[in-house]
Amino acid sequence: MILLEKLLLLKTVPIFDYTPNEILMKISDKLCQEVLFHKDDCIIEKGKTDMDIYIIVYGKLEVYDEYHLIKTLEKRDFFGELSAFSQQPRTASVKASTECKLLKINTSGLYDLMEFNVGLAKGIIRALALKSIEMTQQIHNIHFNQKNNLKKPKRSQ
Amino acid sequence: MKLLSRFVKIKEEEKSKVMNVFYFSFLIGVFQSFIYAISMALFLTTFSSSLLPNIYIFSAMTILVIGLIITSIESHIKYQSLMIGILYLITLVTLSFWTGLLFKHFNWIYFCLLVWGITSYDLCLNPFWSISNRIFSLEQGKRLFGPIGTIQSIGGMCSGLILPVFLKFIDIHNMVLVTAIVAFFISIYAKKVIMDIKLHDDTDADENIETPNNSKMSIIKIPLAWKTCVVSMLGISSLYIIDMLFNTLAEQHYPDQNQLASFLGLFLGVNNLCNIIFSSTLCSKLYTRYGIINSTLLLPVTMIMVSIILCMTNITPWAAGLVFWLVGFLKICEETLRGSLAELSYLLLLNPLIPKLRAFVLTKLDLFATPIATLVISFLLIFISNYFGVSTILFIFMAFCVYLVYTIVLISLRKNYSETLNNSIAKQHYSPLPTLNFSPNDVNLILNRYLESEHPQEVVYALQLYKNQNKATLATAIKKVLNNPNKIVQTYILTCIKDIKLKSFIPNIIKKIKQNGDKEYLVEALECLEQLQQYDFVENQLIDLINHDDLYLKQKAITLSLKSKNLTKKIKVLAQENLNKMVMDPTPLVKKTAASIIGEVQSKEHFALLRTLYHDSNKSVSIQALHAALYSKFEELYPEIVNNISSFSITLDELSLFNHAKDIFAPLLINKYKFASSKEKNCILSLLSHLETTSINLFLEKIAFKGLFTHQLLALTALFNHEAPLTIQFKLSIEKLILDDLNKIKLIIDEIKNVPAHEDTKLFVEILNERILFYLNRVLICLGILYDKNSINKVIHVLKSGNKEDFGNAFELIILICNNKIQKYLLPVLDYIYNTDEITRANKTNVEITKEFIEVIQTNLNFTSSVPVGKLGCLSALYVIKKFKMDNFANQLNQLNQKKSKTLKETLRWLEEKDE
Repeated sequence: MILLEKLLLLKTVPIFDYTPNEILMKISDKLCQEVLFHKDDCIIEKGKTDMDIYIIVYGKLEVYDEYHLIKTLEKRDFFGELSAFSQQPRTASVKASTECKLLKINTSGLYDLMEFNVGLAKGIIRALALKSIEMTQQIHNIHFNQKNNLKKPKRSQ
Repeated sequence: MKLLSRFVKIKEEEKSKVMNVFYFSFLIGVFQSFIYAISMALFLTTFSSSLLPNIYIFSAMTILVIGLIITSIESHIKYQSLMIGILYLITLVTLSFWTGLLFKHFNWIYFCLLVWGITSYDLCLNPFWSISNRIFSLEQGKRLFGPIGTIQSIGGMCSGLILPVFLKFIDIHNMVLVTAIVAFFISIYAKKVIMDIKLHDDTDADENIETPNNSKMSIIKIPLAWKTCVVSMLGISSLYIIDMLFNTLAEQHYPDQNQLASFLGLFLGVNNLCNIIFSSTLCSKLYTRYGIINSTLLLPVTMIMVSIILCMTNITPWAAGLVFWLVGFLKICEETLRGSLAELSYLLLLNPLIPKLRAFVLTKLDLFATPIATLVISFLLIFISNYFGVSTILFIFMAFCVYLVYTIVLISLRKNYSETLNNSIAKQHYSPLPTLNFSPNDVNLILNRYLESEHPQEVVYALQLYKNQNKATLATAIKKVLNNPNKIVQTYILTCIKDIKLKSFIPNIIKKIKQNGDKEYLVEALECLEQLQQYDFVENQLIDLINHDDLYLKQKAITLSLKSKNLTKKIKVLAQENLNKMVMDPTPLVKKTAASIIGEVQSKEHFALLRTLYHDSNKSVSIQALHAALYSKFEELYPEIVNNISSFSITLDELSLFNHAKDIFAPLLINKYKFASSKEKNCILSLLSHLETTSINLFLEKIAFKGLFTHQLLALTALFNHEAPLTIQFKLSIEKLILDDLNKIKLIIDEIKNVPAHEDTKLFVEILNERILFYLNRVLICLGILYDKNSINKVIHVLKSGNKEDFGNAFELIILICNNKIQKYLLPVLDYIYNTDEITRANKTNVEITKEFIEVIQTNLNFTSSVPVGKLGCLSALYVIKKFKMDNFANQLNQLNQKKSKTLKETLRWLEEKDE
């Protein structure tokens, strides 16, 4: 992928919503690395610690917690940001379900850029906050479903 | 309505709000026209016109009474309810008059009706403008208040024209009912508009309009507020003076009643027409271009000039015939400028105040300042006309004096207005803090409670206060908290004992050390005991600690041993040996600890060790050594630090350390700059912006216009941060740079306008917008160098934070700060930036390749542009060329192909492949 192509892809990722194009070009140029995966390759392993965020250029991926499929990811989706920014072990595993190409961004470089650019930090905070809201909603839904299941009367046989 | 919104430049998101205010405004105009005409007609057919001054006095007194009632209840009622309440009151009282007229035809009711007519004429304006001022920002106010006023005049004009038709079908008494119905509709629209306050201003929505500190006199502490009231009162005074002079001269000029009535009707029509034309066209332009204060000055300055001409005409025998017409001209000028510009200015001037305070001042302005001014000037005019008669020269002189004071107050208001704008955009609104006056007994009681608190911060706070009192009170306080188990408290107790030298506590500390096995407490206690001269005890304990494995304890013990002047040589040798070992240790953490010790000891004997650590291969060790060198002022190492300047990231705390030795660093950094790499230059300039000496300033002035854009910007930022005076030559160059940059921005704005809206041009337009921001940043920094740095800093913050409410205030502040030449170029740029977000670039499927569009692409194909985002501009222009298959650039593409840049070549190849 050439620089302009990477830049155009990064512009579709919500965490870079507030980042000026000049900074995005620096990220595309210095911090982005293209990585190819074959079907069934493990991209992220639960419990491991690393500092990378991934953006899908093409292909499909599956997110697993142990053996439970949590969700599938497609072109332009991004993942890995929570563990990368918190520097905590990965909370789920990600596996390629087709051949796929990803852009890998190292967060230690992003931290350096954030020192000079508020927009970048703002975008990242916003994306993390949205993720947190989404997760709270998911927990709420699970809780609600469980409650509903408990309330359902048993069918008389 | 579409035509209206295009003419007035109403933005999409404010459309519904503005339309509601327009209807509201139209109905207000209708109401005013009906109530005034009907009540006046009924009065004049019953009473003589000589009673009119009494009517004005009674009306002013009625408004004052209503004002007092509102003041007494406003703190108990919500702002919205109060405003709607006033409008309901108008409806109900008008309805009561209709009922009164229906059953009993007493003459006094016509007198009261006219008093009420004039009262309600003014009273209905208070909620109207108060609500409008609350829902619109300063920028919106400048743009919309003029047209709102025009709509009000149109409402008045239309209803005036339609009134004779109504009167053919409806009895004049029943027209009072129609007026009450109009007032009811006004209340309904007011409710609709007030909903906008609830939506936009949640925090203040449910509050009453009492001042922030519940003090009615607090308005005196806000010069902007009371000066605005004074200006408004002066305006009212001049209105009555000119009105009386004009009416008297008209009566003399046209002795015939019919001729006089025709002239007055015609004059009123011309007046209204001027008012409408001025408020709909020039008013907004004047506000936006020259700011509120300068626009408001137009009224007194024009009037002063016309008065001078009038005086000269009056004393010239052959020009005496012109006097009447000049007074007429004066009256038209006064009415037009006051109605369309000055009265709106009072609202806008109050806009930077917080909404609550703004509403408070506005209510007082309408309900007290106006009627008081009316009363005073009415009595004064009655007195003068009775004793001296209506003399043209005297009245003109009075008007001249009033306008002179008006001008002086307005000029003095400029500073207060600028301060209020500054506070408004920095969110530092006026809110006096309540003063807490506690008696000494209360203070002791509170502090004693704090000492018993379970929160360590509270205990420490109480100890801090006792420490500032005297030794005895501190000792008593320490005794009370001696057994507090918290580490923070214990450490602070030791600090107090050490600082105040409370030797009586030595046994307690030694006892605690023996009882308490905590080593961290031990090192803190040893430091304290060393100060209290307990050397033997300290030495015995230190030997163990110096050889301890824990790095923190070791560091503390070695530092204490080496720092102390009174400990024996034996312990010092032991500490020195350990420090030497730490420097040679392979572990970076141990080396970093050694560097910290050297930094704290600040002895020249250890500088050789520090140099070794500074040149360590591990970066974290050398950074720690750098900190230690700066902290201990190790000057010999400074040239080496300057040589490696770009390899460290310097924090703000460290910058203050550089500042201690700025005279040594300044020549070193300046010499280094000449041969430094681009990255090093960035570091040097960032550092220089925090060091201020005359030589640094002169150096920065020299390089501010040389080299790369980034270096120029950094040099200018450094000068922006400095306080030192600049050379005149430099100031002239800065002004030239500002105008050049603003011209460049203008060209880019024109370029953007020529780029068609399409998904594929989005990146290109974004980059052009970013280029504008780069230039604008430099412009603002230059403005900060030339003018008030603090105000410009706040403006930069507002532009970055993107709070639209504050944008208007920031614009106004810039108008107040800059000179006319810069204003002229800067305001359209700021206006463009304000509206950039709202430009929705519709995705057109067919893009027309215009000649202008081709020119824009051509300009941006320059790959070697020195401006940041220049490279990106070229890449995005290439993207546009290929996406729209534009084949007018063969030569330029060939030239670009010959460049060495890998990125460029890759891009050209990628786009060609994609094309195929």
